[in-house]
Amino acid sequence: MSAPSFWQLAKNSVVLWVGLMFVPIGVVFIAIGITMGLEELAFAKHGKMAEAIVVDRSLQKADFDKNPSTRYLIRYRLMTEAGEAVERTREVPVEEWERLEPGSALRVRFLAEASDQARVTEESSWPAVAAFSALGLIVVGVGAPLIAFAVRDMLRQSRVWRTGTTVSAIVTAIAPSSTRINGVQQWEVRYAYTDSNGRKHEGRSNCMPQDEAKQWHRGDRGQARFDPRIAASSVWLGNPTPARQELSANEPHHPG
Amino acid sequence: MIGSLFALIGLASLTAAWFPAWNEYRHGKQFAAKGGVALGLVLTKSRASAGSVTVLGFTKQLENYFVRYRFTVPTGRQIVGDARVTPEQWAILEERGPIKVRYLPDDPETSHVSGQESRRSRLETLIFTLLGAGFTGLGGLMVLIVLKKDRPPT
Repeated sequence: MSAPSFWQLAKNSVVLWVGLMFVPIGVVFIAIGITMGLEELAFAKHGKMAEAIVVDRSLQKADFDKNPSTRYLIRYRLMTEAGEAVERTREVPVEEWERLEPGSALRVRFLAEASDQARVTEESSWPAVAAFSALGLIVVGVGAPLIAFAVRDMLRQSRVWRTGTTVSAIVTAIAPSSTRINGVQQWEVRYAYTDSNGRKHEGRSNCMPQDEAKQWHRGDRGQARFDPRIAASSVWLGNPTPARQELSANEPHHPG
Repeated sequence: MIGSLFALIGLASLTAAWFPAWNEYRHGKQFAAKGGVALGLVLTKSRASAGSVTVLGFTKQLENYFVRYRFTVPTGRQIVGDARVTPEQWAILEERGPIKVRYLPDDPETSHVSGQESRRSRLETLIFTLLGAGFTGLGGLMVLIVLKKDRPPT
């Protein structure tokens, strides 16, 4: 019986897939946080102050289709150091919108090298930077240990498959596992075996569909392989044609 | 002990369900008796999803409609109010347009506009009422049983 590939083990590891879903989402959040943080730092270090003139103000009304809420917008013009006039539109609170009539002055901060990036002086992205980074770290903090745990277990299984001692195991139960894949309940085979020193151990197979699990019955004899160094660590090999046998003592033997 | 706790939880749920309704009823009476009227200005309109309801396989998306308005009382003070309104009223009202506001002269923060709906939905009130009635009934029954057991025979 050949050892399963790393990919086959990965396919059966629900924990790994959950971790792999979490980590990229967290990384995206952290990346957004870092990008915003760098932009904020750039504004703090190299931002230039300028007087802008409100050229227009408008109102985007709420409706039943596209706009869920009213937006108060102002359009302002500022001159960059290069003498270039740049116009920007920004949403502002209603009180500020009422105060900023066309022609009135407004203090803005802009980056000389990116004049299209301008912002009203009192605006700060640090709360958003903190929120995105914290959320990203939490999500990665959940996902990364799951991946580490799953990879460690896959390496263990692979090692036991390759170097373990094959032993006859008795099926003690066929039971639903705690895992569901796409809403389908997964099952597991629970088994018992005796190591070379005569100590009894129990193990659980990887998750499998109910049909596959139901081929086994309590008392059937299958094959397991255990780690000679840590006899409690084992993998379920199963058997192509499970046959019900007596619950009796079993003898370990090496593969091949 | 558990009976008293249940009864307390039940009474708290009943209070949570009916105190806002009683408050609205009381304010309604006050608006009718001594309410002032002002012409306000609609500042913003917004709508937000309020979940969905499925009946016999037919799903309906629910939405809440809000308006923010500002009005000035005779003392010159400007008051900003928020209200949940019916979709019909929401459609009629326009940003920067007028809105008729009723308010209590003694407490102008308490105001009311046409088409205003209760802040709490009927479903929330029903859930809290059922929970409250259940817990109060069960808790009261448990307290009664304990009291009956402890009463010395006459």
